[in-house]
Amino acid sequence: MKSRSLAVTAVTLAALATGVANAGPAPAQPGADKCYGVAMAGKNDCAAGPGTTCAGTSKVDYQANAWKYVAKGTCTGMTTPKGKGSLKAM
Amino acid sequence: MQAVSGRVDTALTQFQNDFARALLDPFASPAASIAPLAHQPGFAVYRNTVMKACIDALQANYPAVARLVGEEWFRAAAAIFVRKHPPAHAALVDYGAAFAAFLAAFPPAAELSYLAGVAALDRFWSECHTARDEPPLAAAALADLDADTLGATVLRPHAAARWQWFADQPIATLWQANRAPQLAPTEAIEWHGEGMLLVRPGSAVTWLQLDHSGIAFLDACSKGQLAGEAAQAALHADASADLAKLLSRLLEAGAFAGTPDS
Repeated sequence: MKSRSLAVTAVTLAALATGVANAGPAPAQPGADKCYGVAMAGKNDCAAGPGTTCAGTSKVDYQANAWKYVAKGTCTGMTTPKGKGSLKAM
Repeated sequence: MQAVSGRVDTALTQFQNDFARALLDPFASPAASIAPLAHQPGFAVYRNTVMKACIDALQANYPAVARLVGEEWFRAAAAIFVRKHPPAHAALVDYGAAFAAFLAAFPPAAELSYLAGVAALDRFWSECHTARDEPPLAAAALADLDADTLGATVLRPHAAARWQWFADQPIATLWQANRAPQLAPTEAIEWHGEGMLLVRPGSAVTWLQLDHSGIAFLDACSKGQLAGEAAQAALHADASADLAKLLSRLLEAGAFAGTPDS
């Protein structure tokens, strides 16, 4: 299994061994109560859009409009090599 | 009997396909099999509800992207994505695998060249969160090996580990600043390549930034190469790599699976 010849220098191998020797234990993590239900996604939410309820509207809230949205998040405050990260206002 | 049930399946499949199409495209005229249903007011309510659930799921699965562009931009882009890539199965925690690629090709995101990379890390978080549990390899398990034996050991990356090198952009820093704003850097972000590793040795997803050599080391390990070969790959990526520090960090993070193959 491990008979493959290794063309690795002793210095490299020694560095790996040092890495093992220096490694501390992994920090403790929360126990077994891993949360499977992702809170937001897929919850049974019957609202058909902002301000509506199950009694519902048949208005189309999610039509694919000609693109008209301008990014307004944290990207607008970010400086990139090409200038500010935001989209130009349209 | 076989033929009959075959016909039934075909009819059912046809009905379901027509139903799904009518759900996703409110402007196309529905197929004949669906028309009586689709013309009920309730169908439009249902259509909106399905769309909202999918967009909500994307927003929950891609919080760093949503924070970068703002909610309005995100949800409008998500609505377009949902029509092109409806969920393939019921668990929405897994929804949106194609979102990073979609953003990379999405013209309104062209100036936000880092958005697809940030989306890739949001996706890694979901994959890391939902990957199977596995005990991580403790450094103590390797402590008795001499250097040659260690070099000839295969370190298998942990089932939940996800990593990537981003060549030109500080994707790891941008993602962390928007995924965990309390960790946002206070000084200006340096614009250079970064690597990121996400791990879940227990029940909580954690991450650490790696340089090019660290990513090369993990890439080699994931191909089943020996630790010594992975070390060579790391040095090939960056001749000045500190292998000892790299391996210590990876072991402490729980980047490898329980028992080493040797």
